[in-house]
Amino acid sequence: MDKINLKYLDEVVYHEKLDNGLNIYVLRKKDYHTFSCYFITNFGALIDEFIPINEKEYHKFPKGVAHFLEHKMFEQETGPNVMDKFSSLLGTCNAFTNYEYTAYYVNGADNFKENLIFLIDYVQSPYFTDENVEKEKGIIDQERLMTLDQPERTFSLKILSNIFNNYEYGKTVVGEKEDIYSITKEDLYRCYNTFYNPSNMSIVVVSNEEEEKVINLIKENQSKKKFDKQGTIKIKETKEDKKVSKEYDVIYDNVEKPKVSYNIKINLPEIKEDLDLVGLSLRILLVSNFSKMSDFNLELKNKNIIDDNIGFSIGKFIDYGLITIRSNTIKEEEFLDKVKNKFKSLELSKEKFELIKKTFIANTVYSFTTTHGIMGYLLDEYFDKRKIKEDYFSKLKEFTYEKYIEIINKIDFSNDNITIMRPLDEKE
Amino acid sequence: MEYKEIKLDNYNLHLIKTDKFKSKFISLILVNEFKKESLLKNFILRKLLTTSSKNLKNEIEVTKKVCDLYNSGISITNSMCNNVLTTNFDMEVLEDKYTEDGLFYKAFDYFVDTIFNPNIIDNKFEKENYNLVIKSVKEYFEKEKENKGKYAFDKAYSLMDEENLKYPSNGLKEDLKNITNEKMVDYYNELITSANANLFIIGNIDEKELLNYLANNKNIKFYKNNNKYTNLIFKENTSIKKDEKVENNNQSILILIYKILNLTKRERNVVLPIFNRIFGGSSSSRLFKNVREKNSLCYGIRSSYSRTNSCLTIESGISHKNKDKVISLINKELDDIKNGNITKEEFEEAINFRKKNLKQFDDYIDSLSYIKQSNILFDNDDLDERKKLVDTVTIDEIVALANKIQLNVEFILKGDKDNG
Repeated sequence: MDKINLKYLDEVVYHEKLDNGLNIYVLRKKDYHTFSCYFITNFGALIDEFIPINEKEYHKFPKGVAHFLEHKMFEQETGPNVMDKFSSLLGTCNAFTNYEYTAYYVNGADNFKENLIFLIDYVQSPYFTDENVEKEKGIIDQERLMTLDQPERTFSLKILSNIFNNYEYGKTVVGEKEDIYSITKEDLYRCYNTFYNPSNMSIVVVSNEEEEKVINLIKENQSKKKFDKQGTIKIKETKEDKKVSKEYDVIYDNVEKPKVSYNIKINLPEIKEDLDLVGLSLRILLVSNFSKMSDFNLELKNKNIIDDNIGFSIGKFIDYGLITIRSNTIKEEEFLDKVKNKFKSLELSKEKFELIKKTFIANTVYSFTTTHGIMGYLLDEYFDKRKIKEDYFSKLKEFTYEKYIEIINKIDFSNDNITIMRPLDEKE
Repeated sequence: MEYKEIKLDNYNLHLIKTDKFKSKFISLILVNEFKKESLLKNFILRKLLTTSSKNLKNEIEVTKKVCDLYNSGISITNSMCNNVLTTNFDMEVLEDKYTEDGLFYKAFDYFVDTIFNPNIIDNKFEKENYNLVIKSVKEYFEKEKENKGKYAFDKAYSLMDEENLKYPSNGLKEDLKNITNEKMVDYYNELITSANANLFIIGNIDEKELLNYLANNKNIKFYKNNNKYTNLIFKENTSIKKDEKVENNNQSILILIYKILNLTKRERNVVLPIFNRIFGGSSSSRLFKNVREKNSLCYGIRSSYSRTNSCLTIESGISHKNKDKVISLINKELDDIKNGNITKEEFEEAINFRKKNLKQFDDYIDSLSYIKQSNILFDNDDLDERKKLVDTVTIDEIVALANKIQLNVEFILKGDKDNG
């Protein structure tokens, strides 16, 4: 059992890798009634072409297959259905699929052991039939329609598809209608058998139970089950071009006012710096220059170029970073000119660096005030690097202004895209 | 955990001492008489107070201050509870150990400054910031339709008869034209001077030090008021109102609003959460199992209740062609409960779930504050009492409650591209 000390936070994460390859992470929160257990497979919406286990050729599956599989894991061959069983154990269960992984979880305050074991057992006992697969299609299609009615979401996906040439972040996790209706029971079993092997999965637990007890519970459960030995899963590699996919794009949707975005694609390995520090530097840079703290934001509001605050975000997409600066405005050109020019004269003040750093420190500590906050922190950490490391918070505390400037000066902000969403009635 | 109520100058201090958390929590709740026009004014005022004060001239200075206080920002929210409109000023402050010495009282100074030291010059909010706030409010209303669920919900509630239920919590766009800077100053003064004020502080607090701080802080000034929430009791149902509105959507959204007639205190506080768990409040509920799982008619369906407003609401995203079938399945489940068809298993599960949820409140510093507020100001039982009372609920009580539920509004936001 490894001990990962989260320095400055007074917290410890225990880690163990079982013989079958399953990774377990446990954090004990004494005096808390609430627990949270996540069972995660490294299988998300980006993966749709791979060599299924015990096969030799690559096979392309319909988009949305990881998400469909997540829905169908709630079917059981015998006994009560998963929801009912968790209800009887007073656990609140659910699951979600994103681009990188699928997570099944249960939260509760009673019957810790039973909830944890049932979480593992149901995820490790798939039951797909032609009938239950067919039945799910209508439900998932309603989920697809629900997301189509969210212009904000459509806009974000469009930005991603304009940035990436080959990474498919611009496609929905759910898939298109034809994808959903083409998925079969056989597809689900082939994906399940490949990606739900313990060697491709992790369990993360936050509870008031002793760490060793939790790990032993899982060990005992796994020792009764047999799994095929699995080597590295061969997933069709996707190479991404450095350049943005499209420099300018306009779409139309059900909005009252245009949504305007200026986006920059950043090749992270080229910066040749610790990626945690690159991430911190970019976040500090954006808050300094575009948040409510910036003169720039106030200036644009006072000049009636925008009506509400500038929106900004930074995301990590495999080996690329994506900066988005956006607003709802009818003054599209003026807004874009101002933002582009701002990138030519970025403000890098020490005063703001120190203030923003304080906020980041606080946010990390805040996340450790609730079980769900801790789980959120651990999942972010894990899925950034595929393991939880002890030094993220230390890096933040010890991050210096000089290092920040050094990193920012190495970043190329010229690889840009403009994406605009205009109201439908402006479409010719 | 130790609770103490202390009467101070025209307000009550409620102190919950605990060292369980890495932070402390401050919550001031103002209880004012409900007026329709207060909703929009309250929305604007919340933005005015959090974007400038006499000491922090604009949003830049406010944001820098919050950062300097390790992100101890103030969240201001409102809530309509039958005859009263409440305004909550909440702030969480990290323990000094994780930040710096004396942070709590530095943050408290900012909290007090935000509420009692607004940027009013010559009986007007400072003009530049006022104009920016009004623009941002306009922007909020322009984006209203982008959140289809909330839009459908607000449209459905606008069909209700009761004045205090039919308006969205942030007021109406059309009332914006009647707002002036002077009226906002009047509203600010009215909010402070006509409020019943209660201050809740939770965390590892030195009582003596806190009382000393409050006594010496001359900015804190409240006025004697006894505005008190009373339960909304529907005596009889009015006719069912049905409406349909077409929007540029792919999916249709169904909203059903029910009034719960002659709700007793025990039903409101103890029985209603158990009923809702069984009926539509969870993924093991009747509605989820029958409308989604068995019939594949939707992705999400849920019922929720308003304890203070005696209402139950069902919302679901569906295909319009299935509307009648969905409504018929919902009616069947409600009728089933009205007829006493509740299994022992689902009843016991709902009771146990409620107990679990009540236990979990102890793990959240803000929940401890809201639970105490609900107990002291909104005729609810305290947490220990609630835990005890759950076990006394019977199936017959759930059936009796179900029989008081009457449909009042059936609304559908039809998607023009919803072709099934």
